[in-house]
Amino acid sequence: MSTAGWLRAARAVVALPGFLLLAAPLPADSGGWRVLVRGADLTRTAAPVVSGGVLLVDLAALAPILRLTVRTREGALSVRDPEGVEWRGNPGSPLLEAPGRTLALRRPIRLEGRSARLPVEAVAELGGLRLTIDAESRTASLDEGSHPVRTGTLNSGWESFTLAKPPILPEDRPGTSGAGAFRPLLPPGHETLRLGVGIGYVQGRDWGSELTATGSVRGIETGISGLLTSGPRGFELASGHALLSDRDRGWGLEAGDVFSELRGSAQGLRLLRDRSGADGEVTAFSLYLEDLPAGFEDPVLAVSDERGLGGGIRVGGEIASDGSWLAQSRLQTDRLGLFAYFRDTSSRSGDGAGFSGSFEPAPGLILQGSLSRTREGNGSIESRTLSLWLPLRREADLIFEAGQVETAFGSTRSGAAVLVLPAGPVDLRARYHRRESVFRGVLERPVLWEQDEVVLAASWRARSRLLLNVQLAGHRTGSGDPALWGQLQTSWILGRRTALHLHATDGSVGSNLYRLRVEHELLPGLSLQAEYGDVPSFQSLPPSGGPLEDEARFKLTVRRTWEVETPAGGESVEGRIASPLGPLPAGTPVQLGPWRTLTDDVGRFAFRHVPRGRYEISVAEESLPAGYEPGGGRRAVEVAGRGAVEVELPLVPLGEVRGSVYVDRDGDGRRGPGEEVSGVVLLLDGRATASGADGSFGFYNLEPGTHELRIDVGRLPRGLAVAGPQLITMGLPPGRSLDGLELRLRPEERPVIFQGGAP
Amino acid sequence: MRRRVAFTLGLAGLALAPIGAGAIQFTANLDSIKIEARAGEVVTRNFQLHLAPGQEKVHFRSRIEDWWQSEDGSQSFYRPPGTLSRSCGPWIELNPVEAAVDPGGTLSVRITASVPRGLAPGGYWCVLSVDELPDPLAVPQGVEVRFLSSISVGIFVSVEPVRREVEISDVGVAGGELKVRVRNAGNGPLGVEGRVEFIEPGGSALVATAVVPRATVLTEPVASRILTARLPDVSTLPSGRYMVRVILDAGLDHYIGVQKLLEISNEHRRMAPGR
Repeated sequence: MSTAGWLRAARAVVALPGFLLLAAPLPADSGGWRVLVRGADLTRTAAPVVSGGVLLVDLAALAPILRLTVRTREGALSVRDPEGVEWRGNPGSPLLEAPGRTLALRRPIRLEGRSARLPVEAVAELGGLRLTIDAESRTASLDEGSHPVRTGTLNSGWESFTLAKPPILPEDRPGTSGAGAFRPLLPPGHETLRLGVGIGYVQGRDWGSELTATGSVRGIETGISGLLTSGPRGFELASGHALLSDRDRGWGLEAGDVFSELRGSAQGLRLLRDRSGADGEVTAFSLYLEDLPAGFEDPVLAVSDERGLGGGIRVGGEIASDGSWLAQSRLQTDRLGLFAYFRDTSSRSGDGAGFSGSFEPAPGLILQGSLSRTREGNGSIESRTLSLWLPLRREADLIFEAGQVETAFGSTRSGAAVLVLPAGPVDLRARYHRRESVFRGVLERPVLWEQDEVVLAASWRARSRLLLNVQLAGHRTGSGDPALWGQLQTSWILGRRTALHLHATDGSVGSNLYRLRVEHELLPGLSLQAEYGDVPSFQSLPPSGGPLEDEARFKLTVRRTWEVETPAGGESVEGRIASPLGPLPAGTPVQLGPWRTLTDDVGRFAFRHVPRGRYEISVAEESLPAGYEPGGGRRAVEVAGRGAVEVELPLVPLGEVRGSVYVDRDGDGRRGPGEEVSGVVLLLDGRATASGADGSFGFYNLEPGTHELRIDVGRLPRGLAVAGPQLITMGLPPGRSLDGLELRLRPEERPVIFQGGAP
Repeated sequence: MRRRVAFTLGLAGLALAPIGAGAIQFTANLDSIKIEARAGEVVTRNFQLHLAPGQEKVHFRSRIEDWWQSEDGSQSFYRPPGTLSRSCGPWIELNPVEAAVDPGGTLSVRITASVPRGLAPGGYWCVLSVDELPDPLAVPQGVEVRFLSSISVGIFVSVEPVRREVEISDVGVAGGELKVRVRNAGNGPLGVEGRVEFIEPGGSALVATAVVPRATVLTEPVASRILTARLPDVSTLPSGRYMVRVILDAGLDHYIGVQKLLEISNEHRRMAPGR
């Protein structure tokens, strides 16, 4: 390609959007940490680094902002803080000292030219600022307002001081505790669209630009991808596909390269209608404009459908305006899978039918087979396969395969045995394959062709950083000499951001191939990939009539990805907590499926952006105020699409019954000192309790309504009897308590029967 | 006869441990329950006790009590809720108050703090006591003595703004121990812990450290607490002159500390011959 051609390619639209996007501002390489001082992002000034798990910042650079005076003379650090206190420290020392005060540092002082690196908490201390560490966003914030510290007056000689405290990571921070500490969890308030652009150049061949967008916007799932190339064939849209899918409303739109089981790959448009929400219950209306890779044809309209009939049976098919059609059915259970189809594309190519099945009578023991027949023109192809998986010990498998293909020009029979043998970090695989072919047709006599092949392969994962795949193969054809070839694939993770991949094939058969690829993440979201060797170009086929080039070349690819927050979809589920006593105090927890929220001042709650589905909603019992019980149990809510669902959750306020038991020894009808009785068993509905040492008893957490209270006469202490009614029926209003019940006993008087009759 | 088997008021640290309380075996998280709330707010937490399998059904009754300790922490006092002016007991509700738990089952008690409107800011506290009760319907088998278990867990309610201030008011070294008296000058209980560093005089070399165990310093009726750290063994800390530095963490933004050059006589910490 000429220089002018390259210039044209460089100007091509393929590269322009990519370069524009790559030129967008990128986060500075700050070790991932940001430093904010009074809200201002001073990451570049603070030059944060992490050393030994401690975040260090440049005190000297921050000094003017923190109103500090910093000197680094004669190899020592001198700091005057805003209060005029002089601090001194030596490089390598873990202490900064001022008259009467000492600041202990978690890492020693580092003087680097004019820079003085200190732990960020010490810098905050010197500047009189409060330090907040957000480990999740990797942000250190220094703001006004530290708590006053008093150290009091001590007995003589003790010198008081304060020390900066290391930042507390969120997981270590003490907070509210006790099981049931309620933390709201709501559906995400936004969705995410991940955008990506990559630009690649293959040395001496062509350019390519890949654009992707995946994620969702307002509940509409989005998947867009495209590959633009510029090379010997000029500027091309090599592939492109866009899918928009609204699961809540049950529709989708597909454009670009679409796949059909009837027609294969094609370019066109497709409207999808999800009738029931279940996977596969989709009706599709398609407009095929061009079959791939055949080229242009007349536009074809098609409709396809698939339905579940229950019991794991599904049927479906597609019919098109050119007369072609497809019918298929599937049965899938835990152990058995059957699939059958019939396709008639005689208007274009031919027809075909097939059947396949798999059966797993025991875990790992699998029998699979298939039959198919395709007719195209006057010829036909028949295929039969059968395989058996036998599980061995220690996750090893032995697999037997057999197959036969019959065509108008001959037939091929093949058989293979495969042994899969895991051995620690190494996976071993050995395969013996024999193939016999008979060619007929234009030849006078059938020709027999045989091949035996043995393949030995090993895959070794050394820790998590090195993966090595080695494959050696040898085969012999007929009476010919054996041929050998080998293949090596290795992936080596060199660091957190860098990986190396090598692929090499060598041997006496076919061409020798090798390819070396290095991937490096320059910055978060920006990566560089360099390849050398037998690298395919973007427009992989050479210009018409040209030979395939087999020479080593470079390929460079730059990729940029980033995430964009987009508006969320879903439905609102709102409602209120209803109680006979009026609204509950704010903060009553409500649970909707996996999400939780709290009520407001009038007892209302709301969940926004709830995805379509069926959820249980209830007051979260473990965090419900102790004076209430949920009424009516859990309820189901159907979230069908966009809009709002209103729910009312009733609560039952609870009450108590308290009282005391006494024995009316003096017969005055009132409880007097010393008349309390302990150990008296009382029954209320199905509950039991016993009076305490002071005669008191209580039944707690009672629902409103009618309750029956009685003394368990059979368990009364000897010599006592019930003086009042044995059963008390009481009505308990909602949220109210009955207190001061007094249950009276009397000494049981037993007659004295004198021996021998009355005296 | 009742045994109070466990009570922790530490402000951090998990105490999820099996406890054999004489007659019954159970597991419970004995961490204090800490609640941050505003006046007028209602907050609910949960206390759970898991009964070990293979024993009888156990009846429990839960109640709220006031609690404090002597200055040296050697004695605990339990009184009816409302005894202390900073008691949260009067506005705590429990559910269930009484419950029977099957072997292997769980007692789950909801604890609701209804913070009164107009309540003065600061820290309030009380304890949740869970008592084992005899089964009221059990048939007595003659004369028997039963050890009934009782556990208590601290409940600390912080009503902002909580003023956290602590003073080190006295330090002394004697008898192989270093004692630090701290005074709570704020308006809420504080958990205090720390360490003692022994540093070579004139240098920064750290010779030894001793731990100051965690303790709670209340605001009433005793607003001070004596913390005790045992000196290291003489092999670690030979007798001599050291810069003794006491560093305490009271949950503030900073550590507080005191230091002094001291002559440490550590002979009594020498191991006995033959040991």
